[in-house]
Amino acid sequence: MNNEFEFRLETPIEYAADGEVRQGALLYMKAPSNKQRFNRAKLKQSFFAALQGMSGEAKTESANAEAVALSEEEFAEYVLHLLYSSKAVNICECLDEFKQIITSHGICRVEGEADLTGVLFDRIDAEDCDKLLGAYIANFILASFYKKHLKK
Amino acid sequence: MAVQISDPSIVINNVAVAIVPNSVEFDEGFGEQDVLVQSAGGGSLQQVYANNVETNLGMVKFQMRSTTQNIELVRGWKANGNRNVVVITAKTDDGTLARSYTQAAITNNYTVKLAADGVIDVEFKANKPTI
Repeated sequence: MNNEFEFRLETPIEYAADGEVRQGALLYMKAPSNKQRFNRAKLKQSFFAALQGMSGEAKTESANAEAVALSEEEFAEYVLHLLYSSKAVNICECLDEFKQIITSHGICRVEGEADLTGVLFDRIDAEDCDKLLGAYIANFILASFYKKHLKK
Repeated sequence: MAVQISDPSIVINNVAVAIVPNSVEFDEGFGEQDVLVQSAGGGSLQQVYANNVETNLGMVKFQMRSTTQNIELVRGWKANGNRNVVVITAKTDDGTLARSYTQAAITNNYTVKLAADGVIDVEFKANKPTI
């Protein structure tokens, strides 16, 4: 599992650093520590609940998805699609858990200069936030699942 | 209907802070100006407008409750010198207020009153705010 990855927002956000207001798009993400274990577990559980709770049609799609290998970006999209389309998952709770993880001290740094706080998280464009959620889960929370089943 | 603003949001260094209600004051950083007179003789007077640029700084002040978290926050801002950013926002039915103060420094030698109603008076001086 990677300990870090970089994510570029399509819509930059304003943040404060060194007494100035700046625009930033590059987020440096770190893996959750044991301090965020409950939030992490909730997200992981949501993914597997989504896998289990899929309808027959979706299951077929999933089977197809699992039959082919996916790149990391494709896997992130797949995770997001699964979470949003599953009736077994409360996506609002997932977003809340995700917010708690990435606004923890040191987990996400904007341009490497400022921690992503709750205020900054709320400034992120909704589309960017979805993609970030997928990428974060794919990179850190389901990394072993990805390597075992889907890696190209 | 006009609405008085009494509970703005204060964000300092990207973190929303909780303050004592009704305690926020700010200025627009216009500073002090004066209108002077010069004479060309023979009763001819001219007005001279003088802007005291030394006073063209922004100011924000407010009070915080004396909790351990707030004491640590204020200590951090003070230690941060002028590398703070203070943002005031407020929204009412008839409009929005937003002021952003860069290079903000706590200039007063604040004291922490440890009492049931204890507060910390925090005063920042900063660049003239942007809207």
